[in-house]
Amino acid sequence: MQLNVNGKQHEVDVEETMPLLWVLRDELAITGPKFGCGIAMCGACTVHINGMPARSCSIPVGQVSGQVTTIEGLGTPYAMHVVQAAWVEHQVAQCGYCQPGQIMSAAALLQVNPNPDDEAIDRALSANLCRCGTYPRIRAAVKTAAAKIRESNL
Amino acid sequence: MTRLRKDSIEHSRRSFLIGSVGSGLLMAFAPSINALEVITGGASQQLSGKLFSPTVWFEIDNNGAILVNVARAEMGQHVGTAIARIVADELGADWSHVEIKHVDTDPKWGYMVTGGSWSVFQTYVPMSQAGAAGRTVLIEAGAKLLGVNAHDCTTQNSMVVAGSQSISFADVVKSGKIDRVFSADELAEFKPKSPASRQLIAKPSQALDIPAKTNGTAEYGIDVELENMVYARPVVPPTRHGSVVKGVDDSDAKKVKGYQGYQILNDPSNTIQGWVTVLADSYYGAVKAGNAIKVEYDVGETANVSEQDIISQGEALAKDKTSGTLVVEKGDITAAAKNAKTSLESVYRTSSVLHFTMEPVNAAVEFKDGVCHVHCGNQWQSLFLPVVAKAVGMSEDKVIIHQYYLGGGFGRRLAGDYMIPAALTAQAVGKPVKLVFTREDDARFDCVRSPSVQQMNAYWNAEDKLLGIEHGAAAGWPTLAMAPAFMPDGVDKKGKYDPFSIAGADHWYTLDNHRVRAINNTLAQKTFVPGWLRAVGPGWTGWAVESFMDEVAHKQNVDPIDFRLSLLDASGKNAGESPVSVGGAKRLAKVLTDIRKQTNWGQSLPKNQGLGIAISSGQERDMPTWGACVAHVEVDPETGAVKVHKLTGLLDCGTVVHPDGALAQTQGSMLWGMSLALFEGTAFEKGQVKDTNLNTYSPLRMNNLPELDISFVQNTEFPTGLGEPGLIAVAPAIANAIFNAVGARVRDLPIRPEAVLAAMPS
Amino acid sequence: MKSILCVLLLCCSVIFAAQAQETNEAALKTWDKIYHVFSHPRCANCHVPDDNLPRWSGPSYAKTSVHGMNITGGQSRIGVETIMCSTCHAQSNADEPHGPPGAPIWMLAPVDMLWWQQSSSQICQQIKDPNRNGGRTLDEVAHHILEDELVHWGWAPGIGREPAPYSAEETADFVTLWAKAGAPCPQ
Repeated sequence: MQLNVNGKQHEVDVEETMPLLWVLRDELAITGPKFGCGIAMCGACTVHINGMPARSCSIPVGQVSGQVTTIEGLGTPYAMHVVQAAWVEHQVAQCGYCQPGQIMSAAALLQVNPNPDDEAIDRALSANLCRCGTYPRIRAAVKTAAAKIRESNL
Repeated sequence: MTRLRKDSIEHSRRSFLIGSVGSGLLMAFAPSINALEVITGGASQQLSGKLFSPTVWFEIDNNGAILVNVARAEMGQHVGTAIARIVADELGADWSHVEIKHVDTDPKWGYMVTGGSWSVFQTYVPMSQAGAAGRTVLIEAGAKLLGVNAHDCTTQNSMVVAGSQSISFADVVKSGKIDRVFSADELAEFKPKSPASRQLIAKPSQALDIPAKTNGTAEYGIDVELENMVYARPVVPPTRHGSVVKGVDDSDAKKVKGYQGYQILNDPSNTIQGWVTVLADSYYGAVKAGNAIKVEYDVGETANVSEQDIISQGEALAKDKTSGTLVVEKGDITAAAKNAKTSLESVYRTSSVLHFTMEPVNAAVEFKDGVCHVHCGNQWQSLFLPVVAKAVGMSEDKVIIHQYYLGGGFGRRLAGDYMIPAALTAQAVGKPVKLVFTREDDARFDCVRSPSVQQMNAYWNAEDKLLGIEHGAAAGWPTLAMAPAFMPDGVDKKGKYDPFSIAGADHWYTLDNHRVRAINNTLAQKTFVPGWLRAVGPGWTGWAVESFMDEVAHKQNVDPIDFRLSLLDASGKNAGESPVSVGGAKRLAKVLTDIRKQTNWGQSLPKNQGLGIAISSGQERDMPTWGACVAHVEVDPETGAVKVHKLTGLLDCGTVVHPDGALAQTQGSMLWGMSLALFEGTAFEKGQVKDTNLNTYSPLRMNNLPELDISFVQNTEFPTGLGEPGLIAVAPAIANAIFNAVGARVRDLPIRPEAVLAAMPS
Repeated sequence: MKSILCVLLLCCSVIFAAQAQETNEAALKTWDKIYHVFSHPRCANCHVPDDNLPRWSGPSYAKTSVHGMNITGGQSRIGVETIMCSTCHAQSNADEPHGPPGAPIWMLAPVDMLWWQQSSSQICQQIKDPNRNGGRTLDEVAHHILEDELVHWGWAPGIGREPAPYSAEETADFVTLWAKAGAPCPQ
């Protein structure tokens, strides 16, 4: 089976029913997407499929068609995505385990809505659980990233 | 508590070595207290020869990069950053040159535990001294190179500076030839820098671990890959204790692709009983095989225990005034009760709660060259390393726990019980094994915060003067289950108690007569392994104390803040002690007075809205962080649903070492407190927790985020912990606000809408 | 002769009336079965009002609640912005207990087709009304039940969930039978 992750084509030999998350983590050693609940309710496993967020723990790999993007493919340690840069600026991460998912959800939101209010942010991110309580910083970082995106669109 | 702390700061009695090694400079504590006597040939030779494995706290390479080794678990508190900044500030280092490394369990690092909000508290002095010693040596060497007097030199931005001349740390290190030993006494001479001369401490900064946690490169225990490893999943038995495997039918599991059989575990450490693990060549396979395998058990005696059974025992124990261990005994509460004209009795309950760390517990284990290597995130390696050794039948020096980032600690990873099935499985199959608990497995194996019952009694005389308060608190005790040696004697020496399960009841209010009994709920203790959960004892004793103080104030028709202030007179044992609790209850009174102004206490609010106050002095009396919380809530009178509009938190933790980190920890702990107040609670049903995943266990999410207004008292007192104290006052502040909003007094956590509705005056 | 005829006619009409009565009663009983299906949580939880909030019911929930995680179907009924139903709901049910159920297209029913907490009479009126049933004849409604994959999910909702009663085929037959009998609605 062919799978395109972060712009790179991979050949994987797994059952079609295997959730995308385990293909990424255990077959391709892409460990940014995290295992949290296994039932699409914590959001730690969030990746993009063709630019839209998806809970990789609950999408069978056989149903994936198109480009998969993980946190590793959003930016690089040397050239962070605008959302990641805002995350560092606001010092969002505590334990950090949920943050790849939070960032992927936020990045997708800002693609379609570069000026989200609190309600839109809550809508897009309430399905991403954080136990450390970084929610206030996530909100602030999303707004900072949004402002930067709007600036660069001018 | 005290013993634990002494163990963990033992390195402060060791001599300190600084020497050129290779092309760098190492700064290390000598391995034993008497090291000075055996040191020959100077620090450099000892350090480079590694004759007795010194504890390298930090090193500077010839490019000036400073590496600080951190023996604390990183679980979101950016502890490495806080510790490194203490060192770097004393050194006069350029912060951008500083890196941190989390180390494994080599005994030289000393006792390893990260909990109780102690990390900064415990390391502040020794790390300041180590940094100051480093500065002294760099100045001495730099002065020589510059040809100036050392007394005329300072350090800043990783340079030794004398007037207009300067030399970089890198150049000093390159010149080599540094060789210096400080005795423990010499080291003790170094006092931490005065607040005015600090460059880094208490200044804004970025945490060193955050970029990796933002770009997906941070490595957690669950990310560990070992060559040729097999994936495993546990089959958690129906009871925590006493289950025995009678038979296993894996005919359906055999249909799973990549299934590699199962193991019935026999655990000599007796941590787990009746466990089976299933193995597969992928974790997906292990999950499916775990769903398919059928295990038959002889179940333990708690197979039918319910939450109500545990609560009922707690209620009976709390009511029985002869039960438990005396923790506070001031005056004569029995006489006060006898002479009382009026009295008030309230019973407070809290439900079982899960840790629900985002990263389910897991461990990867490999036996290699006679050593058992355990890879996982853990908070108390020193507690479970001996247990792993016992389980696998090896000596403790043949077990190494490698540390990773923790996808949430919150006390769950103080217990290292999840290492045991991984180690036993790896040993049985003779291959490296990565054992990952599914979320449901994790919940069923959690060392939950025990359900609790607390009975509070207050007594007044004929003149309506408050005579005293009696407090009985019954719960399962984590310390009894996992570290019984840390249990002190009661004040009357008749029995021991878990200090972590009663802290907070020994509050800073001055009462003429005050009795506190810590009571072990034996049914809870049998049914599960009670766990330490963020804020531990004060996280639920504070619920009773601060709710009851409010009830007492209202009964006396006194404003709840005025009432509290009247008892915070800082007399007697509440005067505090220098340096840690200097000021005592006065500092609590100041926090309370300040927050009253800050929140415009007494303002008129729309119908069904109210403000509520509660204070806290977490974590313990010998490391108090003084705090207050005001909650602004609105209650829907039709449904009883509570909306929290705003939480105001004011904390006095002495010197704030890392201001943004302090704010982050307090945001997190206050939101955890709110989650416990309104959203989190499960129940035992047939011997296990009934909520095992997010379909029914529903912690706080972003859409319930209130406005947060958090600030810190600005002073330069001794720094105390911040990871937990913010949590304590939130639930009682919310409950007290609910009372002020609609007159409903709720006494059970979590606060369910139905309970609010039922308590509303008709 | 005439009177005999009258008697006969009278008898017949009584019989016919009785038969009609019987047919009507039978049809209403058939409708009850249809209502039993439509009002079942597997169906009604997604036929929700204009709050656009899917519902959750089942043995693990004490009572029906709105979908957690602040989720809404939005006016589009397929999710809003970047939280589409398909963010979590795949094309098939998850294997894991309480995992997200799935079907090729996962969405809320159009807002006109409100079933949640509606009486038998209300749903009956709705299903007969082409303005509120997607412009379908009752035959087409029956056909829809037979053909639509999301509708079929109601009878194969994944592990741990109680399926809707009967089957898609039986339900389609009930609709056909009820329609032939004049599709009476309860009062």
